[in-house]
Amino acid sequence: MLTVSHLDLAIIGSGPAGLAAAVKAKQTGIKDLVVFERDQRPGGILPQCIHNGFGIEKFKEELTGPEYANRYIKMADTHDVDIELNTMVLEIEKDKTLIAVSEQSGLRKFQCKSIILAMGCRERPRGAIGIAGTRPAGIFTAGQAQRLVNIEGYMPGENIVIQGSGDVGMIMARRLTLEGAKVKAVAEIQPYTSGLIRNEVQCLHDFNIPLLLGHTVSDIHGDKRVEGVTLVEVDADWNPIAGTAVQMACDTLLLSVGLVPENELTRKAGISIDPHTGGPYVNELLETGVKGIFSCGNALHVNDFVDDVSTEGEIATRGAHYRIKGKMPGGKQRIALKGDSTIGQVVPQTISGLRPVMLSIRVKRPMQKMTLHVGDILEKRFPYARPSEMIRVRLPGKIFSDLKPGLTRLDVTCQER
Amino acid sequence: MATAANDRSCQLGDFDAVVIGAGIVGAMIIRELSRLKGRFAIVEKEMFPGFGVSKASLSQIHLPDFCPPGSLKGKLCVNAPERFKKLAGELDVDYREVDELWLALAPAQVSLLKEAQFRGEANGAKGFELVGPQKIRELEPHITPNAVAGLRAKGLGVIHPPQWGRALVAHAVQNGVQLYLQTAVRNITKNENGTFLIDTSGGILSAKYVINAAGLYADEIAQMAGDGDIRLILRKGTMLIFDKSVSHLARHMIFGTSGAPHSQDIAPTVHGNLIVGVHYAKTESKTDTRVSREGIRETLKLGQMLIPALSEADIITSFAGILATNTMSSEGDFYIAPSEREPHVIHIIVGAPGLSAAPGIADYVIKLLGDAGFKTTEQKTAQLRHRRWPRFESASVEQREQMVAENPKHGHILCRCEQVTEAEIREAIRSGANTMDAVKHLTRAGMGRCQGGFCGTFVLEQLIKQLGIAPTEVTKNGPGSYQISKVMNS
Amino acid sequence: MGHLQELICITCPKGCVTNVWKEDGNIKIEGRICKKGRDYIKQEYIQPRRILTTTVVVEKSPIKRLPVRTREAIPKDLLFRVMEALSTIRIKPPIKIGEVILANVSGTGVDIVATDELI
Repeated sequence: MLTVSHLDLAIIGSGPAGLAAAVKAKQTGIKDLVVFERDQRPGGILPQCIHNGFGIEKFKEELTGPEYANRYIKMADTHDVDIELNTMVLEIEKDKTLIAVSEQSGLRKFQCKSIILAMGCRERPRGAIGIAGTRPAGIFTAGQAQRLVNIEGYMPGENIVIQGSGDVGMIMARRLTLEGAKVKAVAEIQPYTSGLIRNEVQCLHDFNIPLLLGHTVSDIHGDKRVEGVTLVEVDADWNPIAGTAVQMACDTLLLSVGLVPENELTRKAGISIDPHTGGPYVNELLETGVKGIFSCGNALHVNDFVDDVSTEGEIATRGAHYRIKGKMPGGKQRIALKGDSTIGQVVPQTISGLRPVMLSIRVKRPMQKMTLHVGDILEKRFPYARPSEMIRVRLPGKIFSDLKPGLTRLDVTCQER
Repeated sequence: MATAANDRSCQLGDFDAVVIGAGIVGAMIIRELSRLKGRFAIVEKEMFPGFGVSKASLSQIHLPDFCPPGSLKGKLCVNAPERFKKLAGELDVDYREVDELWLALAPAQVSLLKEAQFRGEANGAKGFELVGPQKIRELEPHITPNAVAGLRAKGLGVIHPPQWGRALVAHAVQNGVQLYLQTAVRNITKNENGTFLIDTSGGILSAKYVINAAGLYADEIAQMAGDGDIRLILRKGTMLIFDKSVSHLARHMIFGTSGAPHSQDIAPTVHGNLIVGVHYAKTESKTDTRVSREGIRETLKLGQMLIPALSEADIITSFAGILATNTMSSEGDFYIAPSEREPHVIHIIVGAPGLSAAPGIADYVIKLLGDAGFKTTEQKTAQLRHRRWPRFESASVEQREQMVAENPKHGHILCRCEQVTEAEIREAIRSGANTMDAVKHLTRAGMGRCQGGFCGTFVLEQLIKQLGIAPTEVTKNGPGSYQISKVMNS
Repeated sequence: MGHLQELICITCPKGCVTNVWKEDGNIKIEGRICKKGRDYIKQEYIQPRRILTTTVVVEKSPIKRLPVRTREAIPKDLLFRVMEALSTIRIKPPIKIGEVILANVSGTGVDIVATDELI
């Protein structure tokens, strides 16, 4: 029988979401709090993100990933946050018990008043996108290659093809080129990049790396190690166009084909997951379907900016604070936000209508001159919208006074003007 | 077959019998052999037992309800599930029981179910039950609405062949068997005493009896023994593994016949994922296991005909295996017989259900050896001294506490998706796993939904540390499959 | 007239596309651009400069690599030379964030500084 320790708040993950949540928790007086971190150092994914561009909103500076992490680590230190490193949370239950294991302390059980899920996300592997061909050595996800290069100091290969023009893929194109590899092409299945323009310029144009839009790797060749790939052009439905196949010799294939929120623990606890985000359904305080269990950062939905991830950590702490005190303010009204076929995802998925809330929305496809509607209580115009750029709209408190009482649903939709 | 004077190359040993091939069949045979008096060896060209065809399969233990009545394969599959269950206890390996549900998706297919029942019973199996659509839906809530009838049978099973291969061979080695891995047979000659000289990449073994359990290469071994008319017809089958979050979609081993000539099969794996297969394509190659988009697409369709909720988005990996049938027997039956030219060479040419029939094949081969003049006197069997492969993931809280207390490195989880600990990975390496794939197949690290994206670097580091090799020397599965091209700025 | 270049501004996510050329000693920018972007585009036309982020080898620590950056942007065509200069650097803990790892790298007048700490 494991002895049970009691916690006011358990935070799973010491990345930018978990650390921000922990610092906020200490600042607002939560005392018995532990951050569980599986890696040997805090910071989550940030230590391997050695490029700059982080923190413009939070710190008004352009920081590298490690620098951003360090800001919060220092704050956590100042506030005496207990971060348990090399500790894996094995399971959580609906009753907010948690079992963790580490080499140092063995198996431990905790009864928590609240839990914040800040596990971040993982990458889609080769098998999940069904590339045909052999399974030789030399196939890595971009994030895995990033860890190998920046943390371990290992080159994954010398002649590289990258599938996916997401930011991580483009960042790695530059990184590997600077370390002496030849990146022969970046293939992107969509007719537009899924990353920032600045990365297209600084990572691909700068090094004359061809960006093949509307292309995909259809086959991998090589018995023991990658020897080449087949690239094909695709149509609007992502089907290969006959006669466009091109062979490209290489020894490495990097995949940057999508991030998926990491919710193994969440699922096992029986918390409902929104298939549009891959993260749990939450309300405006980021509380999941289980009272006292909150979700934030990339575990809730994949974010574009680390600053937003930290902000979500702080919101989750606000929610946890209410639960620890034993009372969640507000009535029983639950308004569901439902996106239609023009909308990719909306977070949070339910609101109470009692307080202002920041909505995070992604559109389904690129649009010019887009108008966004939230029910008939908000209309906002945008010069353009892309699925890879999350839109944040604030519903101010006073909007809700216009709501019909008993309203249970607000439709979210957008159209081109 | 030519006779030859003794070669000058390295003499590995003189044996009574040598088994060529340590797939599940070879491994079962060598374990049975190892209980007898005599000197035995097993030779395997892969790095690990069970790493050939055995591991690129559905890994299911069937009843003989799809074997023609009176066929050899039918006979050898009788009681397969019970045999495997008993062996699992003896070897301390995993065996998961799964019930069968063979579906008719149209009234015209109901007769096929009855035929299956007939075949099963004619081959000596029992416990078949025909069930109607309501019962089917009770048993499997996510089944296709098109299911009109089902044939139910209890107690089939699923395994992970590399785990079994390792345990079977380990038990044999404890009984004094010599194991030669990464050793390919190049030629077989006979000396003037009638002893076979097996020329391998690692040296020469001499043997009075040769057991050809070389799977896909059994025809080539047969040719070395002078039996050039044994030929294989090959098919490449694609299989899909699904994310554990959809494992609730099927609880049985569900078959269909709508996919014919493909196999239509959805089942839980021993690890709790769902596997779907098998779309077949003709192939000429024994080594080409490239997966095609068509293979993935068509296999998914086969599965969706049975469980419509299966989605491409939930596939975590796809792979292909080569299935062989032989030219010697009719109706795809097994060919297990001594060579007509060399009665002390026993050929085992199997296909599906080779895995299920493996224990039966082992018994049969021992009998054939006896018929061929080998003395089959029993001797004492050693206990399997290898501790059960520790699996933190499937241990209870109490067991986990004990594991961590005994070895704190069980507290350090390296593979998050499958909860594999540093201690398990170290033990795998200590017991001979020296590639990424070997560690993967022995511990499951890298088989979860992120497919090694997170733990890959940790397994790499463990291999470097425990084997004392350079990062550039770590391979995925043997020479040529390096992971790292160079250490930067070193 | 100085040669015409199409340049994409990267100071904010809008990514405004401009045509840039030199006329009578002045840099002309055609296309939508804001003040901050204008400064970037001018510099990019005269001499593209980039911030370099990379890692250096660490000794005597369980952490194997230290992330570093150029404190300011350096000429783009010197990136590989700087990578070369950093390839032989070996450092050991303790290191503070912002600590100079290599001053005035490759004669650029710009320092290489640590972007993580090593305890």
